[in-house]
Amino acid sequence: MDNRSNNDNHNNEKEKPLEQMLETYYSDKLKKKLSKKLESDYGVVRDKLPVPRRRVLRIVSSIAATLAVLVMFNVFFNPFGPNATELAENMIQETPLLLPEDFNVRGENNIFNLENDIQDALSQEDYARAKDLFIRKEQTTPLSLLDKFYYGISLLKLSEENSQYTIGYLNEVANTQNPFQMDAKWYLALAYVQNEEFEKAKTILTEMVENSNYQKSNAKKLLKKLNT
Amino acid sequence: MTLMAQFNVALKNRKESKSNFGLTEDEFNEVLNQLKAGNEDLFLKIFVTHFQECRFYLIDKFGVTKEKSYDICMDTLVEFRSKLLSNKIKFGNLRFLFTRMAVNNFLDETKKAQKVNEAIEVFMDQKGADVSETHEYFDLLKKAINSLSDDQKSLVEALFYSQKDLKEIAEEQNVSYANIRKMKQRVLTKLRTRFFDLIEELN
Repeated sequence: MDNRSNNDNHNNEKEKPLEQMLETYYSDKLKKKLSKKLESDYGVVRDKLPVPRRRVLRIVSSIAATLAVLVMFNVFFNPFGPNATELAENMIQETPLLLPEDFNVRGENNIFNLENDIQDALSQEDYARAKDLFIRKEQTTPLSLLDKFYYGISLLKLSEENSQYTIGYLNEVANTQNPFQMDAKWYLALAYVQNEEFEKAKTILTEMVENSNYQKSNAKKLLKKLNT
Repeated sequence: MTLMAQFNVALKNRKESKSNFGLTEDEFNEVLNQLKAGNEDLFLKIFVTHFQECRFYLIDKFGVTKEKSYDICMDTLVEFRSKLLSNKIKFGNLRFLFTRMAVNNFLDETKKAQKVNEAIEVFMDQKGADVSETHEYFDLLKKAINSLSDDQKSLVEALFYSQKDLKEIAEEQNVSYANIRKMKQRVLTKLRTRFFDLIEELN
């Protein structure tokens, strides 16, 4: 019994290298078969590898995240600051409207009532209502220089698409000798920037910077922005 | 069962399914049965996605080439199949196991090649023969296998291709274990003799 067992062990040891070769041989055969199937049924080949969907998603999400960070950074820390048009837009909205006492007339007739309503609308910064009232007034009586000044400002504050009316009214006031000429020039410069007529705006702003007026520092700021 | 408990069970099933290539245990057994019946189609269908993912992993982790990653994953696929057939792999975290095997195959690649070469050397020393190229051994081995009778060839294939053990083959062929063992011995002896004859013819 022992001899038989020893023989078996000897044979097993002897056949081991052959068995290992057979295993390798059949393993290679199987690999060839699987390779063929992988290529024909699933398009999987040895020398090509498509970009995995996960990696594409990773790249797309990285780009999206970077863009989002840049947008957020721009929103909160805008390193370049607003451009000239944005700056002008801010200035249009932030410039306080000064109302003259002349408007404050109360009377019996319609015109006085209309003037009173216009002042109300302007003091409440209701420029849409002010615009409607100026239109009504224009239909009954020619607009005064002061009316044109406030009508122009109202249109400017409303960022009306038809800015030629705004520019027209403000231009008339800015080029006439009157107490609010310099204010009209400031609003006109802003209207030009809003209308992207930058050279015209620069001419007015340069003049404002060279002369003394209460918008000098803003004019300087806007001019600097226009020149960069 | 509370809603939370149901949720936890669903979560566990999803995790289990994900780590097992989306297979349930029943489906896993079905793959195994088909594989044992000699059909690799379902096996490939399930493993093909991870085969590619694993290639990416090897490229990312070890900086191997596309070709190398393919070879390693192919070795792993064959090894995985072999372990499935010999019931060494049970259901549970198959994805991780496959990847770990691929990494081990990459790390032990040189050792494995060395092992095969050593086996060839030991075998050849039995006759004192010498063949310079490895593929030539396999060409000769193929010829030697083809010289076997159909029954003998079936036995070799059942043992080394289908990875069945002697006990399984004996049960399938309805013969005793001792008979199959003797038959195996005879076949291997015949193969060796035929193989060395072929080497002599070559020289």
